[in-house]
Amino acid sequence: VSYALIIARDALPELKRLDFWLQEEAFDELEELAEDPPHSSGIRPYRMIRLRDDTVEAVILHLWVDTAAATITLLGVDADIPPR
Amino acid sequence: VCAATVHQAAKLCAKNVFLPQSDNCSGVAKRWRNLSSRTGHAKIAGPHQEFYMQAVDLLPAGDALPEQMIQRWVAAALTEAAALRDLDDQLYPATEDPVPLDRARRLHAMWEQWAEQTEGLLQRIASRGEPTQARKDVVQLRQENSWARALLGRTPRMILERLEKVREGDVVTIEEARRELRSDHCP
Repeated sequence: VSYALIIARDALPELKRLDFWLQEEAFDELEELAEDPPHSSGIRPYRMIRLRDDTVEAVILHLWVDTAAATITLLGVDADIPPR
Repeated sequence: VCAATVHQAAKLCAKNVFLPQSDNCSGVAKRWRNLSSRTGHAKIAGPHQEFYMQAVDLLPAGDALPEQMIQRWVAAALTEAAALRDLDDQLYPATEDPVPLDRARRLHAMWEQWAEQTEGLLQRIASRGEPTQARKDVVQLRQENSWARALLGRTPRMILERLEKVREGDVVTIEEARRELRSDHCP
């Protein structure tokens, strides 16, 4: 069963702060999660990591999983990305 | 050519390097879960916590740490992080109930303490130079530390406020979000 994906409007500016390629990676991760969703409801951080030019780009997607409604909502995005 | 097209093409050629979450610590974390369920303790983290979280400052100053010592201390840090991650579902309660909110605040405080100690450890490790920095366990510890730092910027209260707005319907679909973000790159 795949879940519907919803994005909190306030999460959009946070996504925009990521490099474009990282935004796309985040969307890809969300879509994969929606295809294979967690089994329990709740809010949890989803950790995403990418290596680029030897620097670690760590991103946290704050997700609210609602199994009853079959939805995954992106509540916020936090990142720890070293300055280039 | 817009960035979206370039990105899609790049993905076809070669995926970005992805470092999967290591399972190095899962055995230790599992043993701790078994132990705590048998004893009925509802502790926030593992039994080694007081050791790691308070002992990094005691590492001998000045000298470069020996490789074997680095291995042990990095393993302790990663085990600690794995134990804390077992409690991820308590980091952001979806309710104003003070009990889960208090647990969440304590958990955030523990992550903060872990990150402080880990940054101290990583600084000591950095003095050993490139080969040590490139060790798989050290790279993994840097990842964990980056996640912890990212996490600490978001309090349980901030997530509760965001959740409230979502419940009021202040949301967009993923298609709308993609369109809006791509329009910034493909005007």
